[in-house]
Amino acid sequence: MDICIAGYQNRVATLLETATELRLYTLEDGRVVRSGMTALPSAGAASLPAYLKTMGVDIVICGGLSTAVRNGFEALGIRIIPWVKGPIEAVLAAYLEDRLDQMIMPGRSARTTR
Amino acid sequence: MRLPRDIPLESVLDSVAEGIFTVDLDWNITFFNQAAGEITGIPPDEAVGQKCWEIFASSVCDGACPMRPCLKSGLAVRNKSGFLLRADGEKIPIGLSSSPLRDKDGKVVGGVESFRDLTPIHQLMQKVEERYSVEDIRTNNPHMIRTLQILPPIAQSSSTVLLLGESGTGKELFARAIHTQSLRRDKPFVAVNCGALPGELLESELFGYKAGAFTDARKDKPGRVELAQGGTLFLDEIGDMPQPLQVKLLRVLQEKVYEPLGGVRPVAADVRFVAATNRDLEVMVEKGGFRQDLFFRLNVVRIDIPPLRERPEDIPLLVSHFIRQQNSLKGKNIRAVSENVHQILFRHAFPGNVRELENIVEYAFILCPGEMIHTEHLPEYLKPQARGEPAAHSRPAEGSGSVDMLGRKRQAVLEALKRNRGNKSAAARELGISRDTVRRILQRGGAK
Repeated sequence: MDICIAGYQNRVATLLETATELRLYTLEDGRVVRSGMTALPSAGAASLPAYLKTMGVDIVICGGLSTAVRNGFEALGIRIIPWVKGPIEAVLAAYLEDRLDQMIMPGRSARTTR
Repeated sequence: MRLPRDIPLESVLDSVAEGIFTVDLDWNITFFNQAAGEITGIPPDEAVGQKCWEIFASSVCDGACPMRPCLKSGLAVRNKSGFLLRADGEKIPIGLSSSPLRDKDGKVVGGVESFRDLTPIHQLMQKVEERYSVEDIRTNNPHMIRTLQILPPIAQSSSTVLLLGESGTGKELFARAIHTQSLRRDKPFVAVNCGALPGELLESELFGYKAGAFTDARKDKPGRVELAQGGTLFLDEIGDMPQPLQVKLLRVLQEKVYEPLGGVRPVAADVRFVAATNRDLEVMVEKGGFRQDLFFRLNVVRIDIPPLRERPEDIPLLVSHFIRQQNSLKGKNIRAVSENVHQILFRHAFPGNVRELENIVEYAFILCPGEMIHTEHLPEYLKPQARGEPAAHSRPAEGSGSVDMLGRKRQAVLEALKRNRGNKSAAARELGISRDTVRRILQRGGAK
């Protein structure tokens, strides 16, 4: 399974739209077996769902994102975990340990989409 | 005047409509007023103690933080634009300003940021935008509004119209609007640029030719007049039409007939003429460069289109219009330009008029990856550095309301020099301008 964390300077970007890097991880049996990084496509966040779909990403962990972009991910069957905050390594560890709900921005819901 | 000592500052800040919060040097939120809670939807007690970027789902947090210059350099930032994302995915346009917080010794100990919800202003602007538009022409300028109000009766008459305006003011848009609002709207609209072709070619382009009219004329070719039969013929750059052709055009206007090259009998022309030029035809008539009788024939209804520099109130309207156009063309979701970009556009003279503004927006779309066009997305010639102006993060001079632009620039440079112990290179770096620009501003202001 491949996941993507939308980052800005080693932390989760405040908004998916303002992320400067996309950290990519391939997980097997609850462990990271491969990792990489790519920049946000120049066409911006609106093109991200299709871009990440072609890269085989199943789950996107990010900060805030607009309804339009969220709908784009949902349409392509990519699961979104929004409103996440914190350093990227800590967020990855929290995801692997199934405690990502501790990394949600104050005042936001940890509701995820599939 | 000071606040009475027995009134807690927090209660004052909680009573204002603007969102206000403070941070310490580690970006931890130390105060979050009631309005900030209402605008963001985050209870103040949950916000305090968090890093500010973990609270604000804002377009400025990553890379464009207005608090950063406050904490790092003690500089204030005024009137920055951005948006907040509410938990339901709704975007709230905001205007924000920030300032450093100093202790009694003047040392920066944190920052304060105020922000306001601009949604009502944006909604009002959208309503205003919808009020005065005809076809693709949008305006808030009183002169233009009057022109647009009389456009329908002009269009429905059969009179020849002369459009006068600088290059790029949208003369062809007016010509098209006249056509689409006329009784000829179901017939062709044909445009000819009289300045783009040499005389003989222009004549055959306008009136067509018969087979055998000249060596390569193997079969009849219809001219633009024939192609526009029943419709409208737009003659752009009419001031560039050669004099011999002016005579032939005059005959079409007077007698409603023309003769194709090589033709032996006149052909009826059922065409409404709209002409346009950026040249002063009256002066050309005086100097003999344009036929007076043709000028009178064309000048039946005259519409003057003011240049963009004389109608700055149209700049925001046109910017929004071009952003919408480009969004649908490029499949992007850019929402607006920043306050700094607005200020740059208001100061620009726009020698290329509306077309230049359209090109600027198109250029910014190529470089802008987000939802807000900032100064870094503008063409180089518009950027503050290229114009010899201080960057947006400069501290405003005290009592600057009465200081002229050069005075403000000089004040900003002098303050930057003071902070950098007279080092011009360091001051230039801080202000985001070149060392040469620093030197020029100081020289023009009388300092060395």
